[in-house]
Amino acid sequence: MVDPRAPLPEQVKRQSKIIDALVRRASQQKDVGPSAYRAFQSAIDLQQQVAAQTLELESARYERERTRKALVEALASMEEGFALFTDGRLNICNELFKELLPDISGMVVPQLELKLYFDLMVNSRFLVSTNSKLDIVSKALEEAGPSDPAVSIVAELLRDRWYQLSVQKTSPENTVLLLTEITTLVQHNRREKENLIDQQEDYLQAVFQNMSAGVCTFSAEGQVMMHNGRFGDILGVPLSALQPGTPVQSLLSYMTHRNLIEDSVLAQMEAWQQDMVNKGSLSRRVPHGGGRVLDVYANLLPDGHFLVELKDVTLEARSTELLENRVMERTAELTRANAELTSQYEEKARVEEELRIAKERAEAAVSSKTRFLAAASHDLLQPINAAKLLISTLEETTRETRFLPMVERLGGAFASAEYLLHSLLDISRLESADPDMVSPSDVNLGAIMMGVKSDQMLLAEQKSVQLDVVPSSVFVRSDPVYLLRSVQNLVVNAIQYTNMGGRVLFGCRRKGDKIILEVWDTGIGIRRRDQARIFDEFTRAENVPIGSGVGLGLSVVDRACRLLGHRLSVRSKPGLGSVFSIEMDIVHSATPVAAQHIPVRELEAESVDHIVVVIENDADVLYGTTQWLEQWGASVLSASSTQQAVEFVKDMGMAPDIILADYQLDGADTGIRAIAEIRAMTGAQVPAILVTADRSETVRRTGEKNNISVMTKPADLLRLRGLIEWKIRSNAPPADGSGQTKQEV
Amino acid sequence: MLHTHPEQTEPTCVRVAVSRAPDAEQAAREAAAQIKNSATCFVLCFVPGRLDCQVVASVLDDALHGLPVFGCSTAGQITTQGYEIDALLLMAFPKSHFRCSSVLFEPMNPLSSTDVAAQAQRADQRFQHTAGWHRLGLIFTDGLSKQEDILSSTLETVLTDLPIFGGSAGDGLLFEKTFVLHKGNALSDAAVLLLVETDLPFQGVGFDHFLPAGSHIIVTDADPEQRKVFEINGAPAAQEYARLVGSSVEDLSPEIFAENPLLIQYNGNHYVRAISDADEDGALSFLAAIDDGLIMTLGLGQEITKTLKTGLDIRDRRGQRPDFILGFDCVLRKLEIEQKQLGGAVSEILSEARLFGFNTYGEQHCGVHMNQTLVGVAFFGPDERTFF
Repeated sequence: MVDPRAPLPEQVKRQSKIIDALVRRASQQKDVGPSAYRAFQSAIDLQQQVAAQTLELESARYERERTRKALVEALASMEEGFALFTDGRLNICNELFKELLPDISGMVVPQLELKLYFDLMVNSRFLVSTNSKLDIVSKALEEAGPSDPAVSIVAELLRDRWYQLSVQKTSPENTVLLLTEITTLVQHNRREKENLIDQQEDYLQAVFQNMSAGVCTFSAEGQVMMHNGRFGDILGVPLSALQPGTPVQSLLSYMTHRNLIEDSVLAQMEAWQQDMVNKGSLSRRVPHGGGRVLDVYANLLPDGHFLVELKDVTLEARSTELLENRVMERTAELTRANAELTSQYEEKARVEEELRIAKERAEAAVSSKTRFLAAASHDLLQPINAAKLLISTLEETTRETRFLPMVERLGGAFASAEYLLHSLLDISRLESADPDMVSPSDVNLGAIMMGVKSDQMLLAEQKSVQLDVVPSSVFVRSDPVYLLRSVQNLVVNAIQYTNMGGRVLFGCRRKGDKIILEVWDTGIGIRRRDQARIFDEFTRAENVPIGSGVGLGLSVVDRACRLLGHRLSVRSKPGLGSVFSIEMDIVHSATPVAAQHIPVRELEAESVDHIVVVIENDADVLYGTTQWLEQWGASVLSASSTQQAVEFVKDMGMAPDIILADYQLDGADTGIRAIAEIRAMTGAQVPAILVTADRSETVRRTGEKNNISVMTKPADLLRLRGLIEWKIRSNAPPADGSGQTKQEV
Repeated sequence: MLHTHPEQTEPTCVRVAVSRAPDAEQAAREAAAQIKNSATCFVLCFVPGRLDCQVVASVLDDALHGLPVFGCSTAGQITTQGYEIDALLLMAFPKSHFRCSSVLFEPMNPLSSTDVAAQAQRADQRFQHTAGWHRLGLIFTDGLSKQEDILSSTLETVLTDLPIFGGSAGDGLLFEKTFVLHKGNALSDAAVLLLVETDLPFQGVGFDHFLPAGSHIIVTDADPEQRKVFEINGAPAAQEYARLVGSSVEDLSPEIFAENPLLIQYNGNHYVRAISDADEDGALSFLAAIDDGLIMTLGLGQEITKTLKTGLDIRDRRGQRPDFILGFDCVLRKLEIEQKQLGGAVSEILSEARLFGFNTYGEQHCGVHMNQTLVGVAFFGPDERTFF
């Protein structure tokens, strides 16, 4: 150990150093504390311990392997297929289990999921069927615990092999699959079952033979297979003709030869076959030889054979036929009755249609008559209007001559004609049922009465009858035009039938919500039997003196009251007098349409100096009006159209004092338009009066809207003159001495 | 299940990148460019002694966009070509097979084993287990810290359920300053522990090629802290060692040390204690723990290529060869091999075994710090399940 070449003392010294070092080290061993070398040593110690443990583990593993091997061997020797699934994955299985389904055996490997195994099983072509769904099993397994009974499934494999698959959860993580072959058991069961089936077949055979229906089965090729005795009986064919293997065709020809089957039936055979192919069954009733009737039912069997069943329904068929005949007879009767009813109904409908057409014709005729009457009256009024104007002028001119009485007669004749025409026009209008005809508004009855009185004063004076009115300020719901006309007619009527020195009184009295206007006279009276018919057209009571008129007045009143909803009545005693009354609704707190109150002034003899524009397309009326106005000293510009009137005003260079215009001019031209253009041109609100034969509400409203007074033709000349005066005066500025109203254009 | 390509040289479960560029930055960029960033979990980097470790670390951090890079400076690299000394070697471990977590121990002097234990335990607990995956530890230590013994035995004691393999950083053969790489930094006086989890089967490798020979040698004066031996057999250490190996004190060199290591025996096994240096004053410096009064023997080298071949002929239970081996090979072994003109042959063996790694100043295996051994981890291809 020590360098032998060193001198001996040196060697001894070294030896002692070695001894010292070893002793130091030996005594140091017990020291604790970090030292690199000790760390090294302890690491090595540790390492060896680990190695020892590893060895132990290795041997333990070996032991485990051996156990597993033993288990595998044990499993291999089992007669049943066995598999253990741990945590849902294949842990171990034996060869039998693995090879059960050869096509999936390659996939049966450790770690295969149980669910996946079932899937593989289901898809294996070696598996024929199972008695319940495999996925139900795996579902049941998920819920099952170790104590639950095993789930069992019977599986059929190819080549008639049968297995029972038992699945048992042995612990929460382990599931055991056991496959037990039960082929022998199943086959035994099946044999038992087959015996049973044989017995049942005998029984069925007996039933078959004793059935009341004839039954025969045929092969798919149409050969007789088996039949019962009744089949031959019903068909009337001997057994020899129904030997198994006999084709249908020869059976049919046998029957044809013996007249057992009708040609019509034979002809249908093709159709029968088609039906069988399409529907799989057929059912027919056919006539058979000897006047019998058969029901034939045929059914296609699943194996392509078919079964024919025959029933003799001769009796049944006969009674059915009888019934059917009866039903047919009844049906025919009913059909006939129905046809008759239908033709009657059609006749009735035709008559109704004719009636309807006749009614339409009649209505059209009435309507055209009304229209004709209206048009005629209107056209007649025009010339009368012209004549009246001329007669009026003539009267003035002949005042001091011997022609005056004649002219006055002429005037009277025209006045009668005008009154008559007015009445006709009113009637025709009231009959035309034009909704425009009456327009109820709140009407001041007192004003109307006062108007009628002043209008008829003259007539009363002429007849020396005292006319009185009881003043009133009541408002009623009515049409102002027709109410005025009605009151007027009643008053005129009363004056007419009252003798000289008699008296006529009219006024109104309240009766609850109603107001009753009464016209009393001390006239000749009306007999009771005439009272109902006096309101008809052209009717007069028998005691009426000849020449009192044609009797249209009351008719107009009657029609107007009916349209306005007023009640018209009459009380009379012959020789004492009559009371006519109209009952109307009162209007309380009404804001009345300001009835245009035109004061009727006494005719002033003095002449007037006004510039008047007259627009009228009827040359006669235009002439008459011009004459009439000029006679008072007015300057008249007479024009036949708007254009002409405008030209005249333009030439004159100033606004006229008043315009009198007809409403309807030639073409589309109207008086309204003429007035509007003159007003626009002069820039002045020239007073204007529309004189028209058109009595419609539309025209009246249009006039009102444009600040134009409307008078109906033929105009009451007295009123017209008053209106002209009043309009000019109210348009003039307050009198301050200048007196001139002309305006520069 | 058979792998039908035993001759396949490219590993499939790790990506090896090499650059031999002379400039540190250039080398780092070249090597990094060969790595597929997105598929990689972490990178091991072995830096040749002549390259600036700090530069390499920061350039890699930049080039790999912060991908974790661990490793150390080395005394030589083992690449696809076998032994090299100027190659920057990167090993990229793919995400598909690896997960990793790291712990940095710093400083090494003084080393508190309590802190190390606590740190390591915490990291291990935090690192989540993946079902069916296995763990191992890799440790890279400053090769001049002289603390590997305590560090590795502490880790071995604390991390009981995982094997730890490690190598001490080198610096060529200068023995001046060594570095470990940790996430973009190069650190001295530090160690990095990687906890690696993998689904690949692996097996530890560790062997040397010496058998005890000759008479006992007693350490009669030593400084265990500094791993320095002043006297053996009562005589100045260098002088006595030179006498025993039949050399003169003046001729003592790393090659002689490599060829003639000292062995200690413990519990029936022998462990190599490599000598790194002989002082002017006749003291010997060791690369592993020594102690006063220690009994050692001279090691008798075996045929190195043969022991290497035997040691690397590893098969898993399927009889398959490793996909690759991560190896920590003592630089003194390399010196001896080159001394014996066996460099080419050994490189061939290493390359054929698909061993990649570096030449160390010491190896750690199973908690023991050793010298002149080859320590490594053999990774096998993915475990394709076989059934009975």
